[in-house]
Amino acid sequence: MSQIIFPFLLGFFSLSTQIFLLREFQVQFYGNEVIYGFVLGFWLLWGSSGSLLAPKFRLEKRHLPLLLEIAIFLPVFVFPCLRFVRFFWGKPFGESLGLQASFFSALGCCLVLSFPFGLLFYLNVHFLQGNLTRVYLLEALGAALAGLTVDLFFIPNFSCWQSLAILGISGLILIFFSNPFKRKLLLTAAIAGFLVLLSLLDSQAQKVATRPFPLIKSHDSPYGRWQIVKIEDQITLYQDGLAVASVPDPAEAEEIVHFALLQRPEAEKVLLIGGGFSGAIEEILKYPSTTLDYVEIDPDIIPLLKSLLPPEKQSIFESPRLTIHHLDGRTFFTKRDEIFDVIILAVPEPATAQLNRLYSREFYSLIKRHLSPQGVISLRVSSAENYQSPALVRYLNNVYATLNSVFSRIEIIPGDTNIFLASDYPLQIDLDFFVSRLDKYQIKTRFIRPQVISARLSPMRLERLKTRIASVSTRPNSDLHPRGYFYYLAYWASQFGLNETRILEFFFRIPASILILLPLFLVAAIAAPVFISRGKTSWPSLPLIVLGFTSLMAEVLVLLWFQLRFGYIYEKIALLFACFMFGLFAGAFIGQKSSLARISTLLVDQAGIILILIVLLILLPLQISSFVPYLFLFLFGSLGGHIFVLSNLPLIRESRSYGLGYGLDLAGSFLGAILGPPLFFPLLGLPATIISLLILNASCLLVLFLGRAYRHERSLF
Amino acid sequence: MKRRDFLKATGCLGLSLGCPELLASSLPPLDLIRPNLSRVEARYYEKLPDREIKCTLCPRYCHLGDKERGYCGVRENDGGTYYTLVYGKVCAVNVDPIEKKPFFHFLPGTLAFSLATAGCNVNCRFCQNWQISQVRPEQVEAYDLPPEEVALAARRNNCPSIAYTYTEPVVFFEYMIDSSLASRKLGLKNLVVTGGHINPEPLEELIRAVDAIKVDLKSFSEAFYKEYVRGELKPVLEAIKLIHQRKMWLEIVYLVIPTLNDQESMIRQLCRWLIKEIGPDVPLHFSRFHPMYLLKNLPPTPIPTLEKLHSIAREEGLRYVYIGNVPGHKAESTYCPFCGQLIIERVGYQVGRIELKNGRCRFCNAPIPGIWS
Repeated sequence: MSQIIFPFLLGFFSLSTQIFLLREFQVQFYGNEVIYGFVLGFWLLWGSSGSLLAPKFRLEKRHLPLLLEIAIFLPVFVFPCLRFVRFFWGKPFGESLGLQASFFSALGCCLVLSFPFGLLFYLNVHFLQGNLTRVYLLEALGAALAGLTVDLFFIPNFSCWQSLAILGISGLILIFFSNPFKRKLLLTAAIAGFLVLLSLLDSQAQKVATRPFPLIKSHDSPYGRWQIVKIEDQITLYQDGLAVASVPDPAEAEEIVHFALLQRPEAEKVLLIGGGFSGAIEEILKYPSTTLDYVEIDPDIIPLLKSLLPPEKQSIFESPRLTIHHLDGRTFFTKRDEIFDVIILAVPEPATAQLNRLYSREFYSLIKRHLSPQGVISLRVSSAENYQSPALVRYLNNVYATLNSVFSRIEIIPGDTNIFLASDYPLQIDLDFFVSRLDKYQIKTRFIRPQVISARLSPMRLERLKTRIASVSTRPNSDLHPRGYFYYLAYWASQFGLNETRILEFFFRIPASILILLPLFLVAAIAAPVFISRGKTSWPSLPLIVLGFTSLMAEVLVLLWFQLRFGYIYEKIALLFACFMFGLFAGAFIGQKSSLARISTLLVDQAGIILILIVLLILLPLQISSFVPYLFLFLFGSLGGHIFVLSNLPLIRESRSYGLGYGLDLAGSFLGAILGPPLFFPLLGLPATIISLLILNASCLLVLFLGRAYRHERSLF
Repeated sequence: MKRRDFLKATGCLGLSLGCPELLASSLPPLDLIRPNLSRVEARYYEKLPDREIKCTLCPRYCHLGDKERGYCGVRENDGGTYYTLVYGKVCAVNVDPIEKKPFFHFLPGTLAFSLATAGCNVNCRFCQNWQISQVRPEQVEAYDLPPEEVALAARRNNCPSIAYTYTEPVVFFEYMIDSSLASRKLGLKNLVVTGGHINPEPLEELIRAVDAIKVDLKSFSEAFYKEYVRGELKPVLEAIKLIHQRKMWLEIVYLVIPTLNDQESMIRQLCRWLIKEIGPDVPLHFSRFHPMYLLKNLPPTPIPTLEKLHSIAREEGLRYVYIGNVPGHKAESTYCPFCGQLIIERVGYQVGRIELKNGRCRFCNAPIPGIWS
């Protein structure tokens, strides 16, 4: 039984720990593509290192259950360290942590957590007398089930630490009773005890981590961790460590609402996407003829907030003029037909590929179809009142260029935040206009009034902002070329110092033609030492590196493609991922039949990957049926699992190479994680990324073909 | 694991950890802003042997070798001569209401021609103008505005005063002095908005050249200054005292950051110090913090906190205490400390009624300190 349970638990705990680590990183740092790239990349890198270096540790089979228990125990140490990591960096609560801090924190946490899983793969293959395929199959099955259970059951119902504890204790029980070697009850019980402690200390640890600000509520939802801090009568809402809104804070609410609504004060239908808890709903309902549709993706947040507001503020959510929809912003437009007079986007800034969907040309075109002819849309982005740096100017220009590709009239309100107004009908933003409208419609405001905004709307500031933004030229942000989030990330990084910006901006300057070929060089750099040290017998392992790189990039790309076409739906993302893992399982299962262990089979598999990529490239811009992304992921997974098993066959003749194939696969995935979403997607765009993958896989096919012809071998044994 | 393998692995790890830093520091910046730097000799420094210098402008007393720059990043030692790189090189110019600086007892209701160069000699984590203060001058697009042009530009924009603001004017000291002297000839006033990190000797020269100084007092705690400002409190307090002793018009702004510098005991100590060293007539502004720069994830200051501090300051005897960044709050306006009447009505940056006559309360004739015309 242990020969089934141990590999299964390896896959299960490797993936579940990774998911919780990513969520915790999201809270402690800032959830953007670069941070995700660091965490995912280092997880894969250290897992790869563990697998490659395992022979040097002189591990024996009897160490397997102990190492599994240690892997389950390590989060007890790492997650609290991560929760308080800002104190290690000397940063108090509320202060942003930059790229450097996140880089080294990800490197350290993943080293401790992921390296043992790499060792465990090697040890499991040893345990199963070299039956790598079986280990891989069971590991893939474990990972698939981990993805489903964690995403669909644990995250919606428990916090990360609680989930780790429950899963960990369950795993310890399974290990203990299936352990064929000497059982250590005391050790197992001690680890279980620590896990219980971890779950009990979660809420207290959160309170300590937010000191000196009193944390009064915390809630984990599938969309993130919500925390509420209260000082005097003011509550501040945090989502994944980021301050989202404070109540009362009329400045923010008024800014979001009135610059837009004063353009169309007799608007009958207004749509607000996000930002409802800052007080924006109340401000919109000051316009007597307006009915409001409010889109908020997370159904948990409004009840959470309402319970803390005074009764007179709670009642605004019961207004008969308000309708709340719990949907993704884009999905709302695909499911509804209404036409609105004003659409206000109060969503977070485009820090990720997922958020970038709400800033693309296609999204604005979609919005425009739901806008009346004189309708106005508005969105708000970070800026600076007195001087806009080059990184900021590029970001603002990109927002402007994207809006301008859809709407004929754009105006920008200057300030520490910029409000972009877009319409096909004339807009006005001079002071006299706002004064006359406020007066005529008797809208009572505290901040959006002449005594306060006159300086903000001075002709000098208006003119200078326009000139600054027009001083650069960027291409519009689009779904398939999501450059917008890279511009934002480069601007975000600039606040931490010169070096961090330089690294990101360095990639701006690399021509696309070089970037497309970059994976080829990097894969060759990884493969070369392997071929040199192990000779020509190792050439069938080349597809492993390419596979790792390709499958990770393709998986993330298809997930993003799904969200572009169908919106962000948390449960479906989990199912998509599980589809990929089941595909891995299926492909590896078929691959264990020895009659297929031929070079020609490997060539066919590699050609299959190329064919799927070509079909993906063709279908990318088209409207598709919802089952298509599932199919793609299943096929990628299947071919990937099949290639993995076949390519490992020559390697597992020697026990010292048990972990080599797995290590190479993860090394390739590491490159994919670091390069893919943070760099390739925004800088090359999705189609060119697929072309880059095609070139890489075609080169791999060529090498395989030439190697087969050279060696005249038919079998991989 | 063998020792050799361990050393190999550690070496690889070290190299890979150091690579990003090495790579980053070797890259030229993307923004090929044509550097627009000045080369005007600085006024406050000492020459030392071996082409070294010691800057004496601010309490950092930067000791610099050849080709090194001061902490502020805008002054450089070149062969034993210290130069300011931002003389006449402005990167931010605006026309702002004087109440925005804020100056409440100085030419109310007028406009201030506001300007700044790059650079700063501290590192406030909550800086509103970090994009020009926390960078090198090569990283900003600056244009030439010689001192004489500053005065003419202010006149063209109907501004009776010039404000040296946004970043830290101490770092463009020479430019500020020369602009002040040039604009005085045209009858314009000169205002300085500073964090107060300046040594006594240059401060004396500054006081002779300008007409009003507003000091941003970040906290009344050395620990806060060290942690959040990378500066020191003591020199700022010395500067405040000197400004007052020289009878220069002085206002103080205290940006209230929740839980970091809003402790009641600290505020009381501050108020008592002000009463003792400066007197009860110095205007003190408690300004509401909005999340900014590296402290973007802090909550804004609750208004009750500001009101509490306002009450404390009044209790301790300060006569002119204001709440800033809360438009419409009654504590934006000036009330006569003797008869309690509203004498200057303010909403946001706009001034309404002014009930002063020759600098005195129109109701009870009490003198109200300030520069009113």
